[in-house]
Amino acid sequence: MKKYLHIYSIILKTTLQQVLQYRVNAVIQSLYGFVYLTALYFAIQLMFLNTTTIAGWSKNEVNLMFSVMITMFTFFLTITLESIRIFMTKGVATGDVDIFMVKPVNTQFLICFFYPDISQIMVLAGAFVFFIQQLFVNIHAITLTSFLIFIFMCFMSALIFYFVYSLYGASAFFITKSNQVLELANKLSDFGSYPVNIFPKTFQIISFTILPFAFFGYVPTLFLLNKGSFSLFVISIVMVCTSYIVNQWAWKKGLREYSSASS
Amino acid sequence: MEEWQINVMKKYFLIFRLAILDAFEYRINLFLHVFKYGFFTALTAMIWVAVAHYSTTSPMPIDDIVVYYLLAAITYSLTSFHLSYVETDISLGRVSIMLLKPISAFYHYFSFQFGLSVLEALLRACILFFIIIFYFPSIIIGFTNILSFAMVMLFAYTFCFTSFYCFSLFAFWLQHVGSIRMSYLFVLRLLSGFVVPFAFFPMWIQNILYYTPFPHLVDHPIKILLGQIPVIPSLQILSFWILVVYCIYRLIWHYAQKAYESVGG
Repeated sequence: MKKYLHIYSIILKTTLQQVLQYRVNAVIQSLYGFVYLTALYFAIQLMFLNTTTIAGWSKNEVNLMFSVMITMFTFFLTITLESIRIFMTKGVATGDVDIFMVKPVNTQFLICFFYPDISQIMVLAGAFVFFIQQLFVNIHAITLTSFLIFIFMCFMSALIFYFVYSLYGASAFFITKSNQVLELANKLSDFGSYPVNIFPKTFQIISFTILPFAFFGYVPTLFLLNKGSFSLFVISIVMVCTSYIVNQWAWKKGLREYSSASS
Repeated sequence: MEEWQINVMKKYFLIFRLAILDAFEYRINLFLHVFKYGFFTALTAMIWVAVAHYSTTSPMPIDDIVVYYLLAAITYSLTSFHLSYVETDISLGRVSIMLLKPISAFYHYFSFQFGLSVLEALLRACILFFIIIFYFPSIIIGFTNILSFAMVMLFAYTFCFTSFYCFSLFAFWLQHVGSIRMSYLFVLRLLSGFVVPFAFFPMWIQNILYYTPFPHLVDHPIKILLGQIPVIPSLQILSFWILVVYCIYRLIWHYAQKAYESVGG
């Protein structure tokens, strides 16, 4: 563990140096995040123009859910998503994976964390400030116990997020142009900022299993607002275990099937 | 039409065809692309159906929202696309070929993207029209409406392509222009009525947006197809904005050619 933390700190340090070298590019890159999140926030405000609650959720509660989702998502965008995307778009096709395979470090770790998107750090900071603000708005519904369970659920969600997204990443071993798989997951993760109970049953099942966007905002917020149930808690743990097993199976199979020609 | 004009048309039609063939080469990719936006559209529709369900004064009935999003999925293919390959071509110097040969980079990319967008729109239309016929038999779409819709979508595509292309041309000066283009794309998706149905905007915003190209990209084409509004005002507004973005494109291209330099063979 210590070795991996040390490697990751070196990766972060070198990436930060690269980002600081092209500061204008970094600012431009973070622009999209701000515009995107502002637009999504605007859409949520429009939802409540003609009603005070949707499926039992008030505007403040949905805003809190949105803040949880964007903080989680931007955090992952910063630390791992860009690496998975690079791997899926050109890693296997160009043979860039070779360099990771010959190193005495876990290949999956290097592939998934080698290109952190440090330029998103400003968006992450903005999202976190927004989360804190929403936390104070909804403070009357939050207790110390619910906050502690929320922290635990965020950790569970983070594990699910990583296992599932890197599982999508493993599809690059089997499909020539696989980046659409990640694009699909990325696109649907936005729906984690809406109450999942507004969707029909089939979509609710999908949102807890194949495309688990419910865990990115909806589930942690439920526990934060004291609305979570024991069955949901169990489902989260089962999902962590299942996604881990499938993830490891897919990566092992993918790495076994991987072949590289010339140097 | 003179012979040289026909030859030019043939050249760009070939690029259009090649784009379609290229899309079919990676069928899983094509399927996932179509499925991705289909799923995204379905979930967006469900959110607004829920909003209408819980609203006391919803500006749109639930059935109208469903039909709106079914048709929006078709307009989406022609108005919401990524020109990241243009930026890659510029940064890797591939654009040099087009500067040397008697081919316009603008029309080359225009034809290529048009091939991809039309293919995607047709694939979706094939599925969605059946859904509309089976689930909403009361909706009758006339041939004139389809023609008007096709015309306004051609204008909408031209506007969107030209404006996205303008942003992509900044790759002559900057490294990560994709972020600027994507920011604009998302604002376009929001204001055109895709993320939020146009009827859900407050009236004062709707009145302002009417004179911008945005509602004429998704919301108004749908209403034109359903025969609810005439086509001429949308064509007039889009023509004006196409002219504006085309002039901007010419200006950027003028300076871009001067700024461009390529090294190596």
